[in-house]
Amino acid sequence: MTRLTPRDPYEPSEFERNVKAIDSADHRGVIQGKDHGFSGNLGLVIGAGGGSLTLTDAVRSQGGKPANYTEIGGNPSVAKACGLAKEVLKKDGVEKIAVMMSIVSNTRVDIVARGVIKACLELGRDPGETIAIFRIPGAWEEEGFKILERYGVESCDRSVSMWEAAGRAVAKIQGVPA
Amino acid sequence: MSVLLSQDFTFIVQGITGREAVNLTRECLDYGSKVVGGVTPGRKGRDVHGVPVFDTVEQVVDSLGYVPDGSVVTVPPAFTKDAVLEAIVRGIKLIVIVTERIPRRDVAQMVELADRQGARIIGPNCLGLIVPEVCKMGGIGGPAKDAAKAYTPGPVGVMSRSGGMTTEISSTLTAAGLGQSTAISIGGDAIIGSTYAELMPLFEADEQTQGIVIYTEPGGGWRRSSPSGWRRTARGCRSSPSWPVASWTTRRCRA
Repeated sequence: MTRLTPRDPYEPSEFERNVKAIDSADHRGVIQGKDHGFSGNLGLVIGAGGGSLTLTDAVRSQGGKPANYTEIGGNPSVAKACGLAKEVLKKDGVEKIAVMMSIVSNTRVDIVARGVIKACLELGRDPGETIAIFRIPGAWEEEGFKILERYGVESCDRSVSMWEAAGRAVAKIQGVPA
Repeated sequence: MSVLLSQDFTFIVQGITGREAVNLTRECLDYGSKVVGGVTPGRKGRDVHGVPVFDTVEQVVDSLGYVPDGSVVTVPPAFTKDAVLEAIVRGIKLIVIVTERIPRRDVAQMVELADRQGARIIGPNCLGLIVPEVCKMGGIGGPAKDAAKAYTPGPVGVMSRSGGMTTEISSTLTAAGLGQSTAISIGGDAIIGSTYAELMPLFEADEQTQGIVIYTEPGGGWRRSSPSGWRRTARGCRSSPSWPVASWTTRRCRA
């Protein structure tokens, strides 16, 4: 794991450059990604600002090893959500991804669901196996959960806390019962 | 009682014909909020879900015959300052800025002018505020049916830098049988119009509020405006409210 000191110039990684390019190509919504200092096996496709920080804390506190950090917000397009998920999945060592957010108001659950499933399929991976957990409650959640069910992805609504969802993702990647 | 909003609160949406603003307007109307006009330069004469659209705030005021209480500003970053300054100059007193990635210099100027004119800015980069079953100003909570799942009337005030966490916390409170008096997404940017310290006295003066939950995160001078900070810095704020304050700071996720 590399750590930057205050005097080191910040050189974005390939992952960070690619995510920024995807974000810049489409004005709808915002995605950000960082992976400096992350070297785990659980890819995080998470949002929004506060939700991402809280969820990363929750994953780490329960023994998980994040491969990256992301922030999704502002109702991104399917292409943008797909592009972000593909970049996370393409990172070395990533075995599964956890797609999680705090309750969303303007970001649509169904759009993010379509994006991450599209990413799995385009990379030739089974969404049901690749997505450890999908926990995004809120706007358009019924539509989103129907799509996820069709592909065998474990999803949960607001009755499952952010902490619990992160714990389920960690348990799944560690191969232990949640 | 509640903070900042009431049943009769009227507001406009600046940038109302944009993609997110159209959705936001529908959601607020469905929730029962009084959206009385919209502004998009060059779009006068149109309507968005029955809300008349004008070229300027001045035209809205002339058409209504009164100054609306608030404005939700959701225009691209480069034009946000002009929109906000226009609203302030026309006498609007509560301005919610949804837009993110506004240049800091612009935000500083907006906040300064608002302060001089006796107006209040919530945001930028926020989802607005809600008084459950009374009024929703901004995209907070999403569609009306989803907002109703998360927000219920009650005694707890909520303030958060994160819009999503405002709803998450409120939903958790609701599940625990604790409704909310007012929930405010104060904005995630480095400079914001209203900090925890500046909003706390409003909750203290509110008869309905019997406790408060605050969510904050690193960055943007949060230490100065966090619960420990407001005790030291807030002018007119009691050093120790009579009701409980629960605060939560996310901070451990750095690599």
